[in-house]
Amino acid sequence: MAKLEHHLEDFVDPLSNYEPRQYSDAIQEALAEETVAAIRSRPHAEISPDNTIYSALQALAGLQVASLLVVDKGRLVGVFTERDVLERVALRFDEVKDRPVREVMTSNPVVVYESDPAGAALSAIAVAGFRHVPVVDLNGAVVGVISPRRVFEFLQLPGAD
Amino acid sequence: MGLKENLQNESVSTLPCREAILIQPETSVRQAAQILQSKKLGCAVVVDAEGKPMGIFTERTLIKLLLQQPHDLDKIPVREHLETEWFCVRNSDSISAVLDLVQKRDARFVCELDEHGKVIGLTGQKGLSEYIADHFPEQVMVQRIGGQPGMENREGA
Repeated sequence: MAKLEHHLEDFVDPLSNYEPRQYSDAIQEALAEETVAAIRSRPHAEISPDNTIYSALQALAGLQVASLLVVDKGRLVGVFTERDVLERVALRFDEVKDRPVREVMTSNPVVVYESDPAGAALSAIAVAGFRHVPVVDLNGAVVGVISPRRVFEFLQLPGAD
Repeated sequence: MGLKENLQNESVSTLPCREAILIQPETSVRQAAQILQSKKLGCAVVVDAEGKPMGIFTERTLIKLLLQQPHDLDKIPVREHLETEWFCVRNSDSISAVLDLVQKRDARFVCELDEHGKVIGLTGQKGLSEYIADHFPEQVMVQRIGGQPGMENREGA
């Protein structure tokens, strides 16, 4: 017991000199301290990988969305976007329209986790260059999708007026 | 100056922008799709004989035409299917003008015009994202992304 008390007297709290990070800008702080979960990621649209490419185009046009998350048994397996239509479907439409969307989707897409810092969302869009980035939880379950507009909304950027 | 001040004070000419694809109004939808695909851009600006913009043709419209008239794409001129809403800014306008269009009008593409009204580039959501990211390199540029969903042993989880 005497030895333990001696150690306790020598104990120095390693956080005693801790100074929380100071941010000069509220946006900088939000990107660093808030998580992707704070960015609106719903609504979003999903499709099965076995749906036809034609039905995927119908979903894009009917829902007026630019991307579909391709989900198989609750797991994200791909993304199918307007850009994929342009690059992989449009010029050979008759040939592929009845094929499953898995054949033309972007497989194993880059994602962000709900728990990632919000800056990761902007990084995926601005640095990696993806306009629609799926958000997943730590179990890999789909939470939603983020986009530039949703990130701008989160950052509460002022407009011209 | 911070981002909010720069949005008001800096001009569109400082925003990252892409070289605009300019096409004639009689270009067929199929030709336009081929051009968009080769340039990896989702929007072409349709211009008149003087280079003044008449409207834009986008990959979104292409999808609608694939569903409605898939066998006529060679025959349909793009002038018949321009976006009903499209947006332009002068390169001397403030960046906040582009942000307004994106946030309030859901603009994806914004044409950048010179002082004579001619198209000199294309900006929009992507350009704004890059501009904002540049202001916060420590919070954005060093992020590790590219993870795959369903990681079994995520560090720190």
